[in-house]
Amino acid sequence: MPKAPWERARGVDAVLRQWRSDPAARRSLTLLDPIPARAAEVAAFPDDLTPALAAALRARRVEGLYEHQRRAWSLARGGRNVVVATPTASGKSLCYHLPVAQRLLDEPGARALYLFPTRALARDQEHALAALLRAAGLGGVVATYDGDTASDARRAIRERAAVVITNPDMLHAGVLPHHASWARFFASLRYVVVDELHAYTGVFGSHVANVLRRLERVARFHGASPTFLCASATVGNPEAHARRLLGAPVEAVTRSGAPAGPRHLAVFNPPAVNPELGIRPSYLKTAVRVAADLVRANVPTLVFGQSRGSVETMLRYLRERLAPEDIPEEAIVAYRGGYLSHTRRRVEEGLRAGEVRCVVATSALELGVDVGDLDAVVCAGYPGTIAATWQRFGRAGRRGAPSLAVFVPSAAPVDQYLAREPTYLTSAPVEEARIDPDNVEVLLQHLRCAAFELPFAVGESFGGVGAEVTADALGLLADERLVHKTATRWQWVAGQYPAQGVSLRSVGGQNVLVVDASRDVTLAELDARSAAVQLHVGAIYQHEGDTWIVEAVDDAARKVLVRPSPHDWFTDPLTRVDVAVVEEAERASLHGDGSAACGRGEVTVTTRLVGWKKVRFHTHENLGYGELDASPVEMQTGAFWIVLDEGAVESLAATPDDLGAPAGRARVLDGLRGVAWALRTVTSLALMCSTRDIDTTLGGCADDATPVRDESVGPGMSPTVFLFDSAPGGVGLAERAFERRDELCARAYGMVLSCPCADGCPACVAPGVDTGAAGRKQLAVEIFRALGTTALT
Amino acid sequence: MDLRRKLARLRATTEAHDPPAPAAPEAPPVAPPSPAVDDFRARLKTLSRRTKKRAAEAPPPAEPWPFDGDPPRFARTLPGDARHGEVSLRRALDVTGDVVATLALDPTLRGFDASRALFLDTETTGLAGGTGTVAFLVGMAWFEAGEFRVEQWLVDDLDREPAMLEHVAARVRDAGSLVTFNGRTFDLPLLRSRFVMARVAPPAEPPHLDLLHVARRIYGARVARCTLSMLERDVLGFARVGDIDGAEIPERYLRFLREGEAARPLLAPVVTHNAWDLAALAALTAELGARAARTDADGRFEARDLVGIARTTHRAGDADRAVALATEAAALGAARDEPAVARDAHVLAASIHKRRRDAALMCARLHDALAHGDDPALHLELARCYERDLADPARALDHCLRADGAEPSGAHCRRVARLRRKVKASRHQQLRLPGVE
Repeated sequence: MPKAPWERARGVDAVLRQWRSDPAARRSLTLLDPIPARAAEVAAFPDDLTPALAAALRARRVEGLYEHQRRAWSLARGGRNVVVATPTASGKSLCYHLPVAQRLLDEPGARALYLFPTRALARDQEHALAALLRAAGLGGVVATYDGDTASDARRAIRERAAVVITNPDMLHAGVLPHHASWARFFASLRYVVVDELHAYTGVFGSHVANVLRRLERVARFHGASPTFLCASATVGNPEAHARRLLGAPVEAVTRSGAPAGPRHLAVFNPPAVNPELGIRPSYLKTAVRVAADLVRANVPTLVFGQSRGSVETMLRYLRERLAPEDIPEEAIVAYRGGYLSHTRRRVEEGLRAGEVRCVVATSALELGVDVGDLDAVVCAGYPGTIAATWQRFGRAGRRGAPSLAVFVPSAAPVDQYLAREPTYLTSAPVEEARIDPDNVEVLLQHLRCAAFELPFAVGESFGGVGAEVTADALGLLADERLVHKTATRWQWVAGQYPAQGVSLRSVGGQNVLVVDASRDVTLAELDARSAAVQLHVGAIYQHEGDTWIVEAVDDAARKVLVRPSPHDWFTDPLTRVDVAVVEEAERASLHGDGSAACGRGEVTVTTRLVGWKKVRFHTHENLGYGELDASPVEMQTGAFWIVLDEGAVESLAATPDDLGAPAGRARVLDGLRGVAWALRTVTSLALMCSTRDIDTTLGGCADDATPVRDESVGPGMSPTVFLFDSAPGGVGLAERAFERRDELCARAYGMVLSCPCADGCPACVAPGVDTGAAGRKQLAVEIFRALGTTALT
Repeated sequence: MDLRRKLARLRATTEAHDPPAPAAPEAPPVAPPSPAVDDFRARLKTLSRRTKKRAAEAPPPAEPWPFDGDPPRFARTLPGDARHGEVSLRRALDVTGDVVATLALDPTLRGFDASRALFLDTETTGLAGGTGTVAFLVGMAWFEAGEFRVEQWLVDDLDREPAMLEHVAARVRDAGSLVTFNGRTFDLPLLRSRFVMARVAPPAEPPHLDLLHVARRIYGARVARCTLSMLERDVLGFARVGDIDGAEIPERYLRFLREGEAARPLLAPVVTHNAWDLAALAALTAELGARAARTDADGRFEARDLVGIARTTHRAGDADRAVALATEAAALGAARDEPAVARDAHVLAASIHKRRRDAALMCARLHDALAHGDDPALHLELARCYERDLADPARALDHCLRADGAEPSGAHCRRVARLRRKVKASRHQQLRLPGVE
């Protein structure tokens, strides 16, 4: 008999007590040191703040500024670029709204540009800023300029809006190539606000850095040199990241003056069902169980899932679980990216009113959107970086009230590693945001756009790349008949519009559209490589809670046609990855003693889909395989490799198995795959990047130890482990792995040795086919020894 | 440095290739430079013929290169009686501001005076717009002392674009109005952009007559696509011979940039093409003006055009004149055995009357329209009119029954039922004699 609402215990503390007292839960629970409450550090309003603005703030019950807001104000007023990198909900937006508002009041013709990563965020902030300015006496000066802006409104905005809010895609394709129509705006541009700076990492960040280079060029042409005001969630290197993004010096403000309540941290990891094989219970069900306990105790909870599919699944399970206890379906809502502002506001209001008690969300909610106050966050699956984990955890905690953050690891190796070493979550340094604006493919794409926007003077440098590199690149464009060189400059002369062919979220290769064939409606867009692997004919595609089956692939039109799937299973792709070295940049020996060769350089990676598994929902039974012959997808990127010399292979192959027979070459190669797996896990942790950012495969080596393309690695070809950047063109990860090769191998060896499983599990080398003396795990250990590695635990 | 090596490798693999060279201009061959103006005038005179069915043909005249001029400037003068197809250019001078303002639905053009207008057309490196598109040839033309002067500026060296723009600015400043084809969306925004990029002071822009929009309204029913070349052929009766395809123009210019003097013959047809465009602008202005003002006495009107003019006149606010024009168009259509046009004209008149809430006249016009061809939609309209405004349910029912398919069947059935009830009710009323109960 379920308890009546007034009989149930409430609050975070009650739930923790409940878990501690239940033996089963206690086994799964690991509590970390709580974070103590923090008091506010407040300063008075600055002297140069106009009374009208001060009054507007007081009307919002803001009587003073937090220390970090005050410091940001001083820097901004002094014309210094700023990046504010304080935790979530510390009032970052006031750090940029105030200096901008003050400037508009001081100088009537001044202009400001606001950049947000998504349209949804932009629209949200438009309301906030417009309200503040109206309260200070400045009405009708803020406008959003994006794909949805009506065409007759665009001209008015260009000519009259004092603050233009947009996103990098619109700036890149809609504003900069037409900057002559924005002459008045750019000439008076005083501030550029870039919020959610932590969203600009990886490929997207590299693109945006170049868009900003173009923006600076255009502003300079019109006679302006604006100050950049940036805001970022916590990352390990806010100042360096901002500096690389802007190409200019930036001051970082990282210490938050905002108050916070005490925060409890926990890891909830039920024991393995089968420890030898490393089989674990479904982490989604575990997360649902944790969330259900919290919802019953009236704790407003936010559950994060890794994908839309997992969000849908958890939503369903959670509703089913709580329905018998009279908790209505509407109390549990899902949040996915792309929602309109009014839907978000409904969720916010629901949370505030207590009608919504749990929100299940994808990472789309990591970006600043405020859905109100929550007391608990459940993170289902490791989001890939420490930084992202803390951004999610940071969502909980009403000022002063105790909050709870729970990490529920999945069976993935990194998740389980963190479950074994939970202090990593609290003590590991937050990842650094990494971008590579000089990735040659990205750079060239933007150079084309820049040349279209403004001719390059002979001797000019694009951003900080230097005059020589710029001239080389322009020479390439001239070869492509895109620019013409006169005596003084390089002028764009082609009929094309380069910005159209550039997607800021991928490198090389256009995106593929997923289209519902029955209604001819586009559901989603995927980059070429993901599409090649995930969207084969017969694949199950999950989107916003619905499952679809791929009916046809139209390569020419870059479209994939789907229809609703009637099946109760989903598909899992099997791929084959081949690597060929294009250029070897450096060669060295592992552990410095000549025992094993390794190197780094540029490679061509060919991914081919060779088959797929059918897996039933919920039970995860394997229902069968599908075969297909798909065309391969190629890309160039950076890689690091380790060669296992042929002599070592032969002696390992002679190692006897449990029955006394020699292990054989095939098993040695299998062991090498285990080594590659372990190396990838350790590298992603050590380089503090996501596991999606690096990939591994095996290749072969000709006699002279230069790696060649041949996955079958027959006798005479020294097998090689390749570790490469997933992003085309590479962002420098493989290079850094090469630099730390000794340490990474040592860590990987240590991880394998200390793993409690018998013959290999996802947390160390991944299960192989054979077990025992000639099993994958054992051979991996032998291989490490053959490479001369000493374990580091 | 890594980046330079990567770039070098990319350059080595990129083959610098030219797209297939545009076909060299074929016969007639480029004649040796002769006194340019006379030659051109003579050729134009002998070559433009008036034919009703077959449009006049005119091969490209010789294009002498201006050896002086920095930037190069092509100039020529056409005599006052020069024709472009069937239209004498000089008739453009007869067009009044009222007519232009009405046709263009733009009151600022009320002061239009063709003798002070500047006809403008550009050739560009692409159609994308934006700051990366260059107007490499700006053609301008105007009437001076009864003659038609054409002046075209070429950007032969991109560094000298500002000088060209200064000349263009001077002409625009002096003009009373601008006449273009699609200049509102394309040429003028592009030129504004070029002024900003070259840091040349842009001229104030006089009232602008964009013939594309006018032509759409008037000739839209007649031509397959409202492009200048289609209008030139079907309305003006002028067919170019040996003209290049507009799509070739950017490539010709790029080759000229790369190869210089040797590639001049490639560019000559572009200049001719542009000159023809300018003449077409003037001729089209004359033609439109003549149609609207009805000053062409030999009755070569197309009734369809008259419907378009009537409609535009109504939009401009002159309902009476619009009705008059529509009536005339209907008569013309009937006389020329063009029932569809006559019907459209009557329907237009009916809609004007409807707007003015004159039900009787609207009804009459709808009947006239039906006389030229049955149409369920018109029957429906009549049914509505008879029921609502003229209180005649019997007639309304009659038309309603012939309006099958004009509205969804559910609504149709309801209407029929309702009208039947009303007819029955009115019959009962009629049977009741006054004073007898």
